[in-house]
Amino acid sequence: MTRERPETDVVIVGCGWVGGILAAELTEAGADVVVLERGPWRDRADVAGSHDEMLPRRLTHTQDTATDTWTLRHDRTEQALPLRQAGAWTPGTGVGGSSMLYGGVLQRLQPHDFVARTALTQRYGAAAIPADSTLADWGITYDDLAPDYDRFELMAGVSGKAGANPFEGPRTGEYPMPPLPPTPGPTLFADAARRLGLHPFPVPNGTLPLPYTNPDGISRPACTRCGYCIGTPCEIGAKADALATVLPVAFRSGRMDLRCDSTVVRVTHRDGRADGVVYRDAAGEVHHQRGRVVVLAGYTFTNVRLLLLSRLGTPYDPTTGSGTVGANYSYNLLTTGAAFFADRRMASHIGAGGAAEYVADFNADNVDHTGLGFVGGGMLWSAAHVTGPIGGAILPPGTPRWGHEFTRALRQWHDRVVLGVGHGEVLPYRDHTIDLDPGYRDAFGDPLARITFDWKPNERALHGFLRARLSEILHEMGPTIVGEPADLESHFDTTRYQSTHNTGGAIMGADPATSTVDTTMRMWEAENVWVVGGSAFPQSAGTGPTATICALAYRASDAIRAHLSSA
Amino acid sequence: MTDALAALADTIFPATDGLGSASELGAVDYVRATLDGPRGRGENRYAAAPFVQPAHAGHGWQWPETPAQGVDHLLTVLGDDDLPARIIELEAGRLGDDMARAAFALVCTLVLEGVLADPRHGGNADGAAWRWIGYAGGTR
Ligand SMILES: Cc1cc2nc3c(=O)[nH]c(=O)nc-3n(C[C@H](O)[C@H](O)[C@H](O)COP(=O)(O)OP(=O)(O)OC[C@H]3O[C@@H](n4cnc5c(N)ncnc54)[C@H](O)[C@@H]3O)c2cc1C
Ligand code: SF4
Repeated sequence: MTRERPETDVVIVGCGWVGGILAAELTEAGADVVVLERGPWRDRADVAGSHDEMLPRRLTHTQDTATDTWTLRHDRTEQALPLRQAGAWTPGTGVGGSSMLYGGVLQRLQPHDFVARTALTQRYGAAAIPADSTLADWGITYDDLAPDYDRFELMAGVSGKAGANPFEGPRTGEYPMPPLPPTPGPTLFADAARRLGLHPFPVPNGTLPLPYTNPDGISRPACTRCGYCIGTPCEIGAKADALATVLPVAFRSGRMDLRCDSTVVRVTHRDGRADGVVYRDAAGEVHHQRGRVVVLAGYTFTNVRLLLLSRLGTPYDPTTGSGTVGANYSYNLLTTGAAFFADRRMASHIGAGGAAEYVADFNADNVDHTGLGFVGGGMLWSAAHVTGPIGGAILPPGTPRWGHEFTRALRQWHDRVVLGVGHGEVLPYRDHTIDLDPGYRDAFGDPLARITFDWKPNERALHGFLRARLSEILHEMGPTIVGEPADLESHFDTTRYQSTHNTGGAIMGADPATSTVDTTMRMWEAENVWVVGGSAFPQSAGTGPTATICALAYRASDAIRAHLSSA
Repeated sequence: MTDALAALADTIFPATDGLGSASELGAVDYVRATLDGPRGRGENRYAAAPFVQPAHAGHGWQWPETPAQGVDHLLTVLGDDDLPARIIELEAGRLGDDMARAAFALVCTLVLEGVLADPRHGGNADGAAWRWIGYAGGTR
């Protein structure tokens, strides 16, 4: 039996970064909002004592794959198999979602990223873009989004230094907060990069070097540099997450009804209008929550899967190219190398996920790609977050993983290693999609999201390029041993953590034939449904997605507010 | 099985230069408790059939066995004679199967956790392993 719930102004699916921002913006504008979150309620006290390496390793804050996971196939002929455990990506669950777990790096995309197809075609000719790539412009430019980046950065207290990255898009002023204090490993990395003629910079991020009070009057303390950032909530809220920033604003409005342990399973709709969503509570009871506006903010996979399960929008068909829902699924590629210093300690128990030095010289189209054999780019970086002794147990190549040689190496190299990372964009392709799995089902009996994805020649070439540039920096650091970055696996590996930067599936654009949502993230095929998040990205970029996801949330909030006051 | 697990853990992490072996550090208790607990029982894993063996790597653990059952299988494959030689054979692909190899990787990880995790989890007795490697951090 379904319990009918009285209509509210806006129903928001998911209480992560996007859900939190929209709840704050819309309640402040006077709307009543119901936020439905599949995971539990947790406040700051629940994460006290989070100085524990085992917390992220146990995936306690990650989507429960026992009940809902993804299947993956490397091409359209293979049978998709379930990720029996979260591995390559680990989206969060519970209040705050992945915002509680992320590293805190909050970089804007480059102006190029929004118009990559047009720009690459102009510079290199259409043939430079792989024929099966569905690379698409966003329908907005960097300048269109810049005010929303500003709003987000001011709200979150983003730290950074304007102009330190010569490739960043124009900005109206300085970052709200100065860069985090330097740490030994990343400093060695940056110095080496500088000697090679590159332009390292302290990466913009949401971790506070100083106490900060934002324009909403929300105060947060400075980071203690405990280092327990990634995969773990910050126990003091120094890392900007939804719980520390936007949710207090929504709560104090008195207009947010946040229901946890509430998993949305369908959007109900008729004739191009949604009237609400169906969700299940912890007891398994089914509710129908009505709303004048429905916002999907459940991370890329949930956003796309709910559209498909609800038969909302037109599913993408890769054989004909018709439809849009599920198209342009993309991701980021990763390469990791290490510099080992026999005589030097790195104090790697001090730092923060956002305490990193980045190099953007090879990002986007910052180098001339003529003759390189690929398009696209990526970032190189070193971050001070190898804190715990388990995660920091990074040993020189060829070290066995057992026996005395292993145990002695653990001791010899503890805290004497600096990691270098390359992080690159992945083009979208015609056959890289999200659809519904024909066999595997979740705990409620609904089909799992099925992903079709593998590394293609363009990405292998970009990976090789980034790997070589990373290796040059690692050698220039002058270490005792370089752990060379490895080549990409023969097939995408679902078990090795790479990033929770999954994008696409409900992409934005200026043309309803090729995009699911318009440039405010409103569905072309449903006038009162907004689908907000990484799902809207037409392609991934060399930078992490989150600052852009959050800026898009602000952009969507303006459109929803206008819709509510006109309807 | 209990002794076989301890023997394997102590082969992976033998007493070294003043630091005790995995069993002396309490790491074996940690590994056993973990295998007996939700992680070993695979409670956080998607356990719906069908279990299909993939044609190539990249799909992770696709066997119907739980991680703990996989470790039991590993211990049977290794037996208790000359463990180091048997592990070398296993790693070289001349002994056992892919599940045994995956279970070995799991045991290596769990032993490392048992040795180096915060002592509150039952291993790393008195933080001895932290002092030994020179870990300058701590809990709080
Ligand atoms: C370990 C880690 C490190 C990261 N580091 C970085 C970084 O340094 N830089 C960067 O740019 N990005 C990073 N990210 C990515 C970043 O966290 C996400 O991009 C961002 O949080 C996305 O915001 P969102 O609101 O779209 O999704 P989320 O923040 O994940 O929120 C989605 C919410 O929806 C809920 N939900 C899902 N399905 C349902 C449903 N059916 N019903 C009800 N609720 C549902 C979820 O439980 C979750 O709370 C990282 C992510 C992880 C996990
Ligand atoms: S390093 Fe700083 S931001 Fe990260 S968890 Fe610790 S206090 Fe929070």
